[in-house]
Amino acid sequence: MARKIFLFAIMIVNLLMLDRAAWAQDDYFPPPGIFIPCCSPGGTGGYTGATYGENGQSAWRQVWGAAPGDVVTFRFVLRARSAGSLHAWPQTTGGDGMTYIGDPNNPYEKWYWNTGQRSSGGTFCIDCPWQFTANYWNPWIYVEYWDSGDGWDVDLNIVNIQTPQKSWLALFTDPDKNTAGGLSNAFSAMEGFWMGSGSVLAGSDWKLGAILGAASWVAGKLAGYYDKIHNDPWDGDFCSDSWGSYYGDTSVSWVRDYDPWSGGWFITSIEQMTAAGNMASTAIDRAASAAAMGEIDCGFARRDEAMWALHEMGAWMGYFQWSLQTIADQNPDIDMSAIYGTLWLPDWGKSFLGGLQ
Amino acid sequence: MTTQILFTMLAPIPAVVAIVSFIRRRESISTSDAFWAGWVAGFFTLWFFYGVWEWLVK
Repeated sequence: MARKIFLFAIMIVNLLMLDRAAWAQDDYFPPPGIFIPCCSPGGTGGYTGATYGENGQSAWRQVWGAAPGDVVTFRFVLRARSAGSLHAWPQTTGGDGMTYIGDPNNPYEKWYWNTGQRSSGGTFCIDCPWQFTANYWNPWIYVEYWDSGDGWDVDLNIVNIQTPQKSWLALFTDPDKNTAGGLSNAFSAMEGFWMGSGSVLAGSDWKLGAILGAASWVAGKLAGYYDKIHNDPWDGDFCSDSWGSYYGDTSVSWVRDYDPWSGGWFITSIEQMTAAGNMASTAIDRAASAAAMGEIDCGFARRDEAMWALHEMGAWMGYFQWSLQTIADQNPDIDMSAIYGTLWLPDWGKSFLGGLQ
Repeated sequence: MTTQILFTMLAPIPAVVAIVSFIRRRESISTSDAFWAGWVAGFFTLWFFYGVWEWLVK
């Protein structure tokens, strides 16, 4: 009986050792074939010099040239290991959103090693990228650590300081985009409003019904143009100019013959608004695509074209508003609330376009 | 005549409902829903004003 108990105990111990060995081998640090140089040339890194169980901060480095809003990328580089374990966390004195952006499947970039042995594991990588957004000029970065041995050597090497490209294309920044989205919805609703009220008005005067029908049609087109400002579909032809897109839509030009009130300005304003709107749509998509590809020259050229076309559309929206009011003024015997009550929308659209810069 | 007045007086109800629904959902409304909200609001608003206009002015 005693012999059986002894053999059983030996078996259990063997199983535990095998399990331990397998566990350790899976995550052995450093992995086979990976060389960790010793040590930092000095100045940039930090031989922590820690003694067993010490907390501290090391590897201080100043990010010269970083401004508030810039995205800073740097690498955490392990230059030497010690007999203890290391738990390290990159920090900054002047930034937000410190984030590990390495590849966890790459043995050099993997963050977190744990062999279960005090001398080999911890929270760190061999060479991996980190990123944060500066909120002060020239912020400092450093490593916050807990070290159980006699010191690990870590460098923090700055790789890149990137200024976001939102400032050079004001057209695409909030709150302009939100306002454009609101205008797009408002013009969609006005497309329906003019269509619905035009149906009633046509009962009194079919020519006024046709006018509101044309106004409804162009409201739908305008909703699409404002939506283009709100969203930026891709256009890979971003280095070609957009002047070829300046053509008016003549779908409702037949209404000109039934407009004895505005001297033709109502339909002319619709044709010109759609011409400028088509060009603006093309230029906006191309400018956004150029910005996304970092093609600054093409981006600025398309932006200038977009701005010209948007200001032109705003100017013609002023004529559109004026001609609608003129048509209403010349029909005092008919209820014109469907026009008077809605002039605020082209006024808003015109002000928004005129204010873009 | 009484029926016409009744329809005129009831017209603001769908118009107000359409306008309020558009305003409450204006951040997330689809293009099609915005169009129909506008259509209902436009049709019944003008129906109402047109009825009152006929009744009072003419």
